[in-house]
Amino acid sequence: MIAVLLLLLSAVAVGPAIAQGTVTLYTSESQDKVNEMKADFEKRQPGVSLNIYRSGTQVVIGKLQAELQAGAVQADLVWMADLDFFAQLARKQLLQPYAPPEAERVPAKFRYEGDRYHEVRLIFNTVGFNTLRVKDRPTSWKDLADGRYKGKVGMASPFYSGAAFSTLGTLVPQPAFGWDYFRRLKDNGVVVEQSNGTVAQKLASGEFWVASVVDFFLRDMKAKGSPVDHVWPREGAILIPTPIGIVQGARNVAGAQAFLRYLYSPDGQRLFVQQGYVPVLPGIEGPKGMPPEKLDILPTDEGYIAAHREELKARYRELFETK
Amino acid sequence: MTGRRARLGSLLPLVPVATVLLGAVCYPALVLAWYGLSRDAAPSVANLAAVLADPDTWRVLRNTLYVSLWTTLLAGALGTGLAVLVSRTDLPGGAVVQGGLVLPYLVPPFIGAMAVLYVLGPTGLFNQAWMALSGSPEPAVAIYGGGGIVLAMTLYKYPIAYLTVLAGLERVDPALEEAARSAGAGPWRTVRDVTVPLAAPSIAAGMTLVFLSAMAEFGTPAILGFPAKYFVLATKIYATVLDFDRPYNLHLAAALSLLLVALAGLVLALQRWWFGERGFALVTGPGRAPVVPLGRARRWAGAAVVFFLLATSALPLAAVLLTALTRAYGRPLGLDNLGLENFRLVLFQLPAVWRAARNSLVLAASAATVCVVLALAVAYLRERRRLRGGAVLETVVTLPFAVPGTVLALAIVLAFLKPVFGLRLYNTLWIILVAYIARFLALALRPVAAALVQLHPALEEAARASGASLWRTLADVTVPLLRSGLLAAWILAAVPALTELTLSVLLWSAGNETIGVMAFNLHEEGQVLLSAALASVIVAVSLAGHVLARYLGGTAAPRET
Repeated sequence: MIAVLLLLLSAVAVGPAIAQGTVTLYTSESQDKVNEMKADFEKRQPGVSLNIYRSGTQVVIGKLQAELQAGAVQADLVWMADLDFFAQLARKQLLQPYAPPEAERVPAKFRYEGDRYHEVRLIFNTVGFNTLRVKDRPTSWKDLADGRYKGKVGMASPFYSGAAFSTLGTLVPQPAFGWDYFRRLKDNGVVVEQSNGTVAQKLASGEFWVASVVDFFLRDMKAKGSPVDHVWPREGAILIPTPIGIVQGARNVAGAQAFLRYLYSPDGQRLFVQQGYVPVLPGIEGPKGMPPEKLDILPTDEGYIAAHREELKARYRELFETK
Repeated sequence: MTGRRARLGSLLPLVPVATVLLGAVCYPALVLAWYGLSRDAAPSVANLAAVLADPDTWRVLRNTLYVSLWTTLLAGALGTGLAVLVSRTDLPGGAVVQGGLVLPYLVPPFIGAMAVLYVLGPTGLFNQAWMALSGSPEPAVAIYGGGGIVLAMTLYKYPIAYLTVLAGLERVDPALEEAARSAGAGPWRTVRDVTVPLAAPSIAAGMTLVFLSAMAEFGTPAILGFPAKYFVLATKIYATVLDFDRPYNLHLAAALSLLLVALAGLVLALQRWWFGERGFALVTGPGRAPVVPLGRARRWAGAAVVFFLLATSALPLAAVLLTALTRAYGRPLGLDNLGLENFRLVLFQLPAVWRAARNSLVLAASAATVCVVLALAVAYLRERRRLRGGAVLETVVTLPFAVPGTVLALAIVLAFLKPVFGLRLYNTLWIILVAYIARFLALALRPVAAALVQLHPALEEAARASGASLWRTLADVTVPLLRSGLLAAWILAAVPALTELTLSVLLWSAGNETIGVMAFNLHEEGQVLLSAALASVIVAVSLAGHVLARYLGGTAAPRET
């Protein structure tokens, strides 16, 4: 017993020391996917190791804000689904510009604020469905409010998921949707989960029949044999910005830049495709089961989201979290 | 002169206790209170007013009471009944049944909730079978919400009551029961009129622990409540902390926390008021209590307990394992859909898992050790030195356990966000250790204090009278006599710490995640298969750890016969 204790205490003494060449990444990326990426990156970049803090976008932001207030930011890199938050960081001079050589080929609209942050692959919010339960596929966002799916509709919470917040902020100012659309979703018994991953899993299990959910989960799960699929909604899918950027004052700038270079490299881009994502680098073939050749995108007004952040959340809370 | 020095020496245990309690409890509590009662660095009641004016608060409060009270009642009754059955009757099954009854305690609550979900969830085993048999597209059982939370909590918390009452019953002097028997009372009458009343303080203590644990719990209401938007205070505070776009969200969360602290304080005060003054100094030494023969009911009672164990422990855990072995989620169960892929991914593709496991081991062992030492010091000061302010001491010790872990974690984040005396705790593993010590001290204190109360001071007085110093007395008399209590305390603190979630979910940082955080994050992320695989590993490890602890405990403290 004492020997075990001593052993454990010696482990305490060694502690979680930070190795040289460690890059700390704060992200909302899917745990298993970002770890695959870490393994591949570390293999190609010996000597650098990636230290990952992964949670829902809003949780990661909360953590970062606490660290900013305390003046002790641990992250070298931040990567998550909240464009407006990145804009705030850039305004406060908290991100440093960096453009890997390959990034020059990436469309300018995916590189923000003088390359302070950028998209490294694209994800879209689409309409997903369970192939065992749903015979007549949904075709439009509006179908989620259709009575034939009553009580079997899922979506993620904007209080946790950046993608869900983007979706809310995109649909509310659209005249064809507005708050009325969300009220109808509520009347249709929509179930709000925290994360998109949960929504996708529950879609697979049949707990949900249809859902508003991020596309790559479904492509990935479908490839593994789960009974899910997604449609590109008639009105267009919603592009979910998930930028990555290097923190001003990062302790390991060289390591952070190496990781960005890796993400933009053909190897990194191909791993994204394997994982079900749409690549951002031109000339890389997209994943199987990507719907149309021309990606119809429902435009997102980032200015509106930036100006109405609190109001969006407050009204959403009022609608969905008070009974 | 010597008398004075001895007095001072005997107060020496106060130093570490005071240091830890001031640093890990009082200071964070003050910071939390300040956040709750201020805005823009000026005192203000605006947060409290906003919280109290919000009808949502009252609904959440009602939910909290509903869940905690029902759980306490059901788990208390279940635990007490089982403890009486095990310790006072000739229930068949022996060690296997007894081990089985403690099993749920070794399952981290949020994993328990996940397990319940896999059985009774909308697409769990039960509802799938029901939908297949009835052809109905609707599940028969709705597990999300208050009822489901009570069910899951009862199944995983009754061991708290069971263990506490069992410990109490084993300490009841059999002479009293023998006296009742020889005076002509029947076995059941003896149990009802002698055993149970004598065990009343431990029943009350067990139920209080269940209540506080239920009220403090985060994992179960998170997993079974979030999908139904059913919030209890603990999950509401968590959600408020994360809702950083809401102005003054940390202040509002702190105000909500104060409300909860008041509630917990009220419950503790009630328990102390009700049972605190009734002393039962009974035990002179362990002995066999008279056994009540169950007669013809023996087999049925045994079968019922075994069925209970199968349905409430084995089935949910089997469901976790089955989920972990599933290849394509959503496809029907079948041999072609089973495999070890998820285990391979979790154990070899997620390097964070191993790091998290090491972190949790280190945290649990260090926290439990510190807690037992402190608990002994506190119990000693209170019981033997009759320290004035003992009640205050106990309140301070119990507070971090009585409030939801979310509140404690919030207080500790706010307190240590910036370095204190040049010591940077935030974003290190040690901030979690501080929280664990504060949190689990109360768990360690109960068995230590209970054992000390029941150990008659005469033995120590004899040692002191024969010239032994305080430390000698402690080392040669008190500690050896208490060793099973100390070991119980260590295990009681280490087991929940090993798989803790509530605190670490707010305190973890990159590289400093706990195994609980890993599993919960995977679940939250919707990685059902991976989180089930990790949950299976965690359950297996905590069972193995428990067996090991019992084995070590068994050799370190052979049972006197």
